Formats: sequence, C-alpha cells, structure tokens
Amino acid sequence: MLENISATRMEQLQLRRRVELASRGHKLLSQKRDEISRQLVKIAGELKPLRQQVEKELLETTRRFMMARATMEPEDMAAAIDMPTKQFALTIQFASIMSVKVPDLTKDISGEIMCYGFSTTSGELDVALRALERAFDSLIELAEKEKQAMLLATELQSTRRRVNVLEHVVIPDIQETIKYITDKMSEAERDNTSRLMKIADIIRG
Amino acid sequence: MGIALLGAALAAFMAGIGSAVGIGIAGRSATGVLSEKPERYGQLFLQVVLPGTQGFYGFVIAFLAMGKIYSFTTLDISNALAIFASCLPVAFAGMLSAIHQGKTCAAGILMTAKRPEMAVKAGVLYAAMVEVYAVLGFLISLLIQMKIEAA
Amino acid sequence: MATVQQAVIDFHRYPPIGTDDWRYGFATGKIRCLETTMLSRATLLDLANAESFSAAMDLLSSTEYSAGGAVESFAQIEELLLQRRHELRTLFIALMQDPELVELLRARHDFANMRLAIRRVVTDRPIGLDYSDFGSVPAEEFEEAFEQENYSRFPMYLQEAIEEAVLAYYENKDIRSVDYAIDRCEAKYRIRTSEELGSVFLLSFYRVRIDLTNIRTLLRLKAAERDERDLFLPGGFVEIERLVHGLDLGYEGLAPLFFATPYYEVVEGGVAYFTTEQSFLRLERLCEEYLFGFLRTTRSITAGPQPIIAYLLLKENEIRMVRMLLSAKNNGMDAKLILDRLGE
Repeated sequence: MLENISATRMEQLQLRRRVELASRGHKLLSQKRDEISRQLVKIAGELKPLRQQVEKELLETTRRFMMARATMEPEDMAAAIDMPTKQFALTIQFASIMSVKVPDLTKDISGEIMCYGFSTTSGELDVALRALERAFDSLIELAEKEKQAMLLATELQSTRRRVNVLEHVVIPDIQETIKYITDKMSEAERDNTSRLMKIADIIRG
Repeated sequence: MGIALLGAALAAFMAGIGSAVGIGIAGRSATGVLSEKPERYGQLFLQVVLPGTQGFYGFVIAFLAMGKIYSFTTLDISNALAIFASCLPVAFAGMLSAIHQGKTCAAGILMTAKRPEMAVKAGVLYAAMVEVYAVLGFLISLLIQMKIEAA
Repeated sequence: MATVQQAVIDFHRYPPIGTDDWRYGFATGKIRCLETTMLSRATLLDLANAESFSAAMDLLSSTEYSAGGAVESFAQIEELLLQRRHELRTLFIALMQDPELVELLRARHDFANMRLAIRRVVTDRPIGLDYSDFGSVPAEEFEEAFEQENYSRFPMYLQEAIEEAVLAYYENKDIRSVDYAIDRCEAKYRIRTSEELGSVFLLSFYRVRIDLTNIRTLLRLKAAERDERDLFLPGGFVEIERLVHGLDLGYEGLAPLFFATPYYEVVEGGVAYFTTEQSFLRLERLCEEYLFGFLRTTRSITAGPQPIIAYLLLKENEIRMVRMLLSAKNNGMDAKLILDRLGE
C-alpha cells in the first residue's frame, strides 16, 4: 500500500477523511453488533424453554394417541381422523430487527379439531388432539423464533467481522499511511529548508 | 291289561327320552371341550354317560312290569292300575332328572375345561346328587311292583 | 321417529343376561376351553413392566401372539394382530347358530364403514380404503352404490342411516353431524333389533354400551366446553334428562347425579382422575371394566350365545391391549401411564 502512495497533502487530507469515516463506521457497527447480540441473547433465552415445552407437548400427544388406540379398533382410528375439520393457514411477513429481515409468521386456525362423533372414539383422542392443537401454537412460535435467531446469528457474525476488519486492518493501515505521508512531507520540508539554507549560504558567501 | 302295558311303555320311553336328551346336552358340551382339549376325554366320559342311567332304570322297571303282567293268568283292573301306577315314579322322575342331570353335567364339563382337578369332586358328585332322585323313583317303582300279588 | 322406551334400573350391579339355549352346547364348551388360553391379568401386567420390547415379545413367545422369530418392524406385529382378529371373527361366525344375532353384531362395522364412506362422499373425496372387512356389506360395493345413488342393496337399517346422515350434513355442513346421525341410528337399530329378536343379553349389553357412551360423551363435552345438548344416544338405562342435567353441573356434582345407577363408581373414579390428570384414561378403563364385568356374568350360562359373544368382545379387547402394550414398549413409554390404563 505504501509503495504506490503519492505523498501529497491532498492525499493526506483524503486519508484523514477516510480514517474519520472508518472510525465512525466502526463505532456504529460495534453498536450494531452489541445490539444484535443483545437481541440474540434475548431470543435464545426464550428459545430454550419454548423448545423444551414443544418437545414435551409433542411427546405427550404421541402418548395420548397410543393410549387412544388401545380402546379403538385400527379402522375406527383411521376413520376418525380421516376428515379434518380444522382449517389451517399460515402467512409469512418479514419484520426487521436491526435491518435484518426476519420472518414473522401469522397463523389462521379455524374450526374444531375434534372432527368425529363420540360412540366409536376414545376420550383420550380428544385429549391428544387438543394437546396437538396447543403444541401447534408453540411449534409455530418456535419455528419463527429459531429462524430469527439463525438469521440474527449470521448477521452478527458478518458484523463482527466487519468491525474487526475496520478495527484491526483498515484503520491502522490508513493511520500508518497518514503517518508515512506526514513523515515523508516533513522530510521533504526539512529537505527543502536545508536546501534553502544552503542556497542562502552560497548567496551570502 | 292294556293299561298295565301302557305303564310299562311309559316307564321305558319317558326315562329313555330323558336320558337321550340329557346325554345329548352333556355330549354336545363335551365335544366342544374335546375339540380343544382331546386329552380330557377320560375325565369327561363319566359325566357324559351319567344321564344315561335313568334310561336303564326305566328299562328295568318296564321289563319287570312285563314279567308281572304275563305271569298273571287273569289280570283284574285293580292290579292293572297298580302296575300302571308303579311305573309312574320312574317314568317322571327318570325323565326330568335325566334332563336336568344332563344340564348339570354340561356345566360340570365346562368347569372341567377350566379346572380339571375339580372334575370328580364337583362335576360328577353334583350330577350324582341329581341321580339320587332318579334312584328314589326307581326304588319306589320297584317296591310297588314287588307288593303286587295275584288276587 | 319412534323413540325407544327408557328401561328402569331394576338390577343391582349388572343387567340380566337371559337364559340357556341348549343348541349352543358345543360352542360354549369350545369357548370355555379357549377362554383358558386367554392372557391372564398377570401376563398383561408383566408385559407392562417388561424392560424392553424384546423382553415383552419373549413373554408372549408361548402364546398365540408369538411372532415366531425375529421381529423386523412393528408393522409385522400389526399384521399378526390383525390376523388373530380375523381368525377370531371367523370362529365366531362359525360357532353362532343365529344369523340374526351375527348380523346385529356385525352391523357395528357396517355403521362404522358407512360413517367413513358418507364423510368422504359429502366432501367429494374418493371412497378410498380403511374399511373394516367384518361388516355384512363388503366395502367394495360402496363406491358403486354411492355413484348411482342406489342404496337398495344395503339392508334397511343402513338405508335409513344413510338418509339421516346425509340430511344432517346438509343442514349445517358440519362433518360431525354425519357421525352423530349415524350413532343415533345405530343405537336405535340395536335396541329395536335385539328387542325383536328377544335377546335379553344383547338388549342389556347394548343398553349398557349406550349408557357408557353417554357418560363418556357427557364428560368429553364438559372437557371441551361444548354446549350441544342433543348428542346423547337414546335407549340406555339412564334417562337423557339426567345426562343433560349433568352438563349444567360442576365436576363434583357428577358422581352424586349417578348415585342411584350402577355407574356410580365409574363416574366417581373417572371424574376424580380427570380433574387431577386431565386425562380420560381411568374413565375409559372403568367403563371397560364395567362392561367386561357384565360380559363375565355370562359364565353362569352353561350353553347359549352369550358366552360366545362375550368371548368375541373380550378377545378383541385382548388383541387391542396387546397392541397397546407392544407399541408402548416399542416406543419406550414409561410403565406408569400403561399401568394407569391397565389398572392395578
């Protein structure tokens, strides 16, 4: 970098502006980094209990299904859940956290989940389906949160890299160049001064 | 004469019907059990044939009555009626007890299917208790006949 | 629409089962023997407490549920159980001497098939599979019949059920109405037919079934906080007014409501478990125990269709239990929940 620098005042001024810009960018980016990691910690904190809850609910649901099957003939079971009455629609919107586009899921559930009559079905099936219904709510929330966390984590990584590059490479580099130019210029100054002094001596002498 | 013969016939066929029905009932239950557990044959045999005894009692009484009837040179009406009456106990007691004994045996056979160790204790013994009343009928028939003397 | 008279409860624990029918001597003898090969309660408990799936299979190795070698997938077990069920039903048909009684019992499967078929037809979906093969009308005939809207090949009771179910669906476009309508038709048909056939046992049996279904419906409606009042089936021993009244009571008021009925213990135990565990496991179990207790009273019958019907139902339940236990073991479910379902 230092080789093809023209050590002029013009260049120095330009570099000074660049270093100023870079350090301002550095400051902003590190603020962004802090904010993203704060958000991420928050989401991750919510994520863990949510995930455990969903896992528990799904496990519970499968258990109930198994128990429900015990009192029902296989054909009855197939018939009971063959015709769902529950309508399920999912819309994705994008929200922005720290200029990161994260998905925001809105679900639209309508209808009753119990889609069968009473005489050939087991009460345990009701419980299982209702547990599944609840698990679905949390499941969607979990999916949304996990995707957000993932996107934020990628963003955090690139921001951190940018901050590091600015801090450890760009800014020191430019500052070094500025220093080099300053040195070069003062060298030239001194060179000039001494030459002038020499000329003055010759003239006087 | 005719009425005395009617008595003998009654004793034979009523007790016979009873035994046939009784064995039929017990036999059907027994074949049901044997279709699954052929090794129980010995235990079940006694319970199947038990209702058959009434038929024999009826047969014996009918035979004795016939002997009596033909031993008289002249059979007056009172003796004929007496022979007729002597046949009734074994006819009725035999028939009804055989049917019920058949049912008891059937129940005993079903129990033997589940608890073979009780086969003789309960199955045969309970059926034998029904038998007692057939024997009583048989005895009375016999005693009445022995008292009938030529007038 | 003739409603069936509600019978009075004039028995102490279980309703009457009728008397002997000596034509069934052979069949009853055979059944009594087969009963001895049924899995004992101890075996079922051992299965529930078995350490692993393979240990459970070892326990079954000397029974008719033995897979006879290594089990590669659970589907193999399912297949085996279905086969056992098929054998059982074939035996049942062979032993029964009254085709009317067999038809009445098989009607359950006809109604179940019809329920599924109508649901598929009204929602414009293919008739498809999943039908029971034990009905009197083979499922293959459904497609053609519905296509041509010609139901005359079905027995009268099914024609009525189809009519009512389709009508009920188009009234409010709710798929569940189909089920409700068929359930009601089924209950009426059962009571009517068993009265016509003069079968004391089946009449009692179906009344008990209707009562137990109604009690379960009552609790399930309460749990789902639904307020339909016309879903109870007619024909049981318990009056519908009593059940409807139950909807307005709190959970603690339910057991006293059934105090004068034989179902007091069923309701009491079931409700108590439900309020603490939010689960119908015990209610289902108690209902089942009551029903099977009733079926076991047929032991006093020396010859008759009753023990054979009871054996069919008890054995079907045994097959379901084995399926439940094995799939629970296969999925590593903990023993406590299984025992809750199985009973102590």
